[in-house]
Amino acid sequence: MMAEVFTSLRRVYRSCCVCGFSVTCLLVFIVAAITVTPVMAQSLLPESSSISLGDNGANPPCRYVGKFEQSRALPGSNNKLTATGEFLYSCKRGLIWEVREPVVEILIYTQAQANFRVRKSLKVRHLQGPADAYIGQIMLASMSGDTEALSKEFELISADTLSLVPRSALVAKRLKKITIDHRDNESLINVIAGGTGDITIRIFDVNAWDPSTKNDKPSNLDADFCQSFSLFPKPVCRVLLKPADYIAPELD
Amino acid sequence: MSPSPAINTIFRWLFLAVVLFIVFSAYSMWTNGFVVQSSMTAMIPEQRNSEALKIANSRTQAIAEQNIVILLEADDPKTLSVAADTLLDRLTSHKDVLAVNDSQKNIDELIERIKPYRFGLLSNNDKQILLAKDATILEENALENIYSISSATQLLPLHADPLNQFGHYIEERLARSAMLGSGGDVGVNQKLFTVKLQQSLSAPGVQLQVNNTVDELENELTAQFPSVTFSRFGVAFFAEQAARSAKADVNRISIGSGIGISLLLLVVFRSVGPLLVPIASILIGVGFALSVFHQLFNELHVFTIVFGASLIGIVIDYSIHYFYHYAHQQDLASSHKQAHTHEPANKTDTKSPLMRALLLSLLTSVMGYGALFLSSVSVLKSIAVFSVCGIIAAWLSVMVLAPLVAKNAVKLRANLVQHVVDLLSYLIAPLARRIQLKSVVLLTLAMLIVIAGIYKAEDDPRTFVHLSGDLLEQSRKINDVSQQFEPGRYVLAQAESDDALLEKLAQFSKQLDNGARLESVANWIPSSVDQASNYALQSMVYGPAGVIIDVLTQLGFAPELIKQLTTDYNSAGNQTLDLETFNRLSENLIAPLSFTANNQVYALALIYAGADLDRVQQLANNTNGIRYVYSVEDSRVELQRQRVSALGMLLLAYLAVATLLWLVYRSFKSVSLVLIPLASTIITVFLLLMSGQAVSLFHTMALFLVLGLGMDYIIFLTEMKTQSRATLQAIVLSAATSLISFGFLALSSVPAAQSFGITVFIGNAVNLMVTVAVAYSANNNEGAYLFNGKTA
Repeated sequence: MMAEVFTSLRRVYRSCCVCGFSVTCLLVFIVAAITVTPVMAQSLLPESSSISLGDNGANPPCRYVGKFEQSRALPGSNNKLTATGEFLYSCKRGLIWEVREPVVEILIYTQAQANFRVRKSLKVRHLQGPADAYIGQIMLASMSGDTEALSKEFELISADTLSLVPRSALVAKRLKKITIDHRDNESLINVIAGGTGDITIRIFDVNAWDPSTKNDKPSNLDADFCQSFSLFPKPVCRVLLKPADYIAPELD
Repeated sequence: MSPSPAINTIFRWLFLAVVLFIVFSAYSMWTNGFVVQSSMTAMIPEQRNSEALKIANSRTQAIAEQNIVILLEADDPKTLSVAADTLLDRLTSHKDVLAVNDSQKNIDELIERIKPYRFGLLSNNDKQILLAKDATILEENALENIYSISSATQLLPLHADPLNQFGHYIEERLARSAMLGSGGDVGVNQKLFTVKLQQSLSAPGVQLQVNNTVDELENELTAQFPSVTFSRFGVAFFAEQAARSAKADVNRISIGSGIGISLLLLVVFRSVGPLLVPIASILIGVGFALSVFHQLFNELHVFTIVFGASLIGIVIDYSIHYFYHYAHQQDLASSHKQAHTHEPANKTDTKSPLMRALLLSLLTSVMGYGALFLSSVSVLKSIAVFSVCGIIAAWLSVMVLAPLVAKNAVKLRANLVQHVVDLLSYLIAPLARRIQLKSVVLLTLAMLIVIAGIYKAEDDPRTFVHLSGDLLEQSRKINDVSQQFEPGRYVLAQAESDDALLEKLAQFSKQLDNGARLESVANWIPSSVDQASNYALQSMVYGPAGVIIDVLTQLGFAPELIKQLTTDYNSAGNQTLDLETFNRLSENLIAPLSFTANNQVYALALIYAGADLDRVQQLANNTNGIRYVYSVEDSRVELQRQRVSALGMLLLAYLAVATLLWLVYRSFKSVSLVLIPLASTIITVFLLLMSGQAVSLFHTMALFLVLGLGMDYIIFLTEMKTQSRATLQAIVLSAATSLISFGFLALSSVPAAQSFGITVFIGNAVNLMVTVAVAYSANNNEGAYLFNGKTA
């Protein structure tokens, strides 16, 4: 399993390196951070869950939902911008990262290695940039907890809280450091981003989705799971379940 | 036997001047160094291109030359990762030679340099959004980006690019271009490094330094990580490999020829004395040629040295003829003495047949090698200059030194050589008896018909050099995993203005559709009209009533940051990123792919590997102002043209030689001796074709030397007719030395040198056979083509 994750990470890392984009490091970190215990990465999801990318979705638990709150300190001001949302993870399909308040931004990272953004207008955009591909792969891979992948991009420093310092000078120029603090039922992540404002993300209420109440075939479980999660199930779940339908041929 | 005292004095002064020049140049070379070039482009003809095409070719060549690629592979990703870190670490200690083309660093640098122009640069998607002129959507997008966690690492801070438009623009460019560098992981078990050479590859010593550095890195890395495979790709490696094998060739040819010829001369002359003159003449000849190159160009191509090494077999001829005839004359003198004649044996002047023969021989060799200068292949030109200088200096050395050595009795084993002559005569006698004009003409015609039927030419410049199989294998491996351009192929666009050029390139790319991906300046900047239009569209965002001002103010951004943003927008109103500015700003980051020449603007569009090249060519041919350039094909056509014109020149050379013979000897029989090299030429081409070789420019140019050598034999046969026996022996001996030298050249690892060597080897062997046949006929009064007079 780890080997497969590692393979995916390498592929994505390649695409990142080709274009040198590092935007993704934050998200890499955010998901990764949650998966990290001192020096070792853990799954973002509750310890009871045993995530396997080899899991075809038929063996529960393989579907999770959780909440997050992210706030950003504005540079040159004491004001903070706070947004909240929820995420859904299906080890077979991928991840939906849904910011709901005060703006709507839905990012969908599929296991088919195609990533999308759904706007409030419900317009779907295929994210073809290497940075988006990188983010998507890392986020998905991080669900299973991959210390090696993280330590490739960050130097992991274990103390009371885990600190991740970017290895790339270019990333470090924009993203100074990330710290992770695991508490009882939540994880707190601080992103020291400098110019664009530091960000704090709190992740909480992470639960496995129990399909036992459903009589569906395993193949329909993800559809049910998504329908019950998203604010905009029509495009969002369709994108998650059938990403090929939304893949644009090429960048303009 | 010596020239007249006046001429002798001139020769001595000239010789002294040559020696002083060599000594002076040797000191200069010792103190300043001497560059031995090994660029493979020396095998490619200079084309009669326009200035623009010359600039374009040199730009593409520089792009290819100034980068190398290293690929690391290992089964264990962890080991690979550590090995990669070690390589990067080691590379930093060689930063004066090599520097990793760090794409992230390059991108960061480029962003810093072009960000003042950002308001005129929009991604296609952002432009569509602005064209919709929907303030609500713009506001939503801004909010979305500002709240999004992904904006934490966007390229510019939120207050400088709240919609991350510049980030989108750069991302869109990067999806189209690999010019800022590539590298990183290309698979679970592979890591790729693009490395830039810190100095021009053509600068003295850089090629060797780069190779030594990479060798050192490879040795260190593979010693530390035995499971890691190290592969490399780059022009520098192929050039160095060619240089190394050429140097080995030079050693092989010079040592082999030297030993072979020395042994031959020792056996024939039975003393070291006569050996010293040819050795001195070779050293002075080569020394003078090197000195001329040092003073004029301060560099010499390694292939020229390879060809030059075969000069040994040519310059030695003067010594051989001199000593042979000197010894022969001594014998005659001693016979004379015995017959009570008191006339000194060496009372000769410049009109003596040997002096005239040596002078004519020099002229024919100079003409033979000089003909190579007519080619536009730089290596052939330099061979011409090198050889002519070497031959003249060597000849002069013989003229000055040989009489000094010859004062002591020169003894030779004439009988031994005569046995060889007899053997050859015996073998050739059946042919010689039938050597009639009619049969020669018929045979020649028959061979010409066969030649015409099976004539096969090879003009592909790639076949002139040998590339290491191991390096080619490594290159293939790297090409499979990295984004490389089609080698030697590109598109050259021409227009009267920047905008027209960018428009032309954009249209061309669009028409190619998915047929090919191009790398051009149009990937990076829009036209000034588009930039102005983009800037105008941005007024909805950043202008006096722009939506972003309200959004940022409401969200609580610091007022001074908001003010700075609007100031930046306003001051960017007059700024357009034109081609010249972009070239300046992207210096050392992106290769300059545009330039101006003759009041026209030009842009190169490199073609990414995997393109439908036929489609690119077809479209380029049908598009005004766009030219498809395939330098290999252009070189092939040029080489073909030169090969054909060289054949024409060869025919003219034969006519000139025949005319010269007529003017000098006024005898049809003497003129008919031109059939010796002509027959050799035809038989050589015939044999080459029959052996399956295709005739190239190098074969053709070698035929001039076959003519030159054949002419030598004609001249000596004609001039030394009173000593035909000794002359034939000297010819056999000098032919043997040439055959040794060119035989070794034929074994060269450089295909071009090989072609040259094999042609002269065969041609000269046939020259010798035909000469012996003619002499046999003359001596036995059996042939129709005898030189004037006959001797026993």
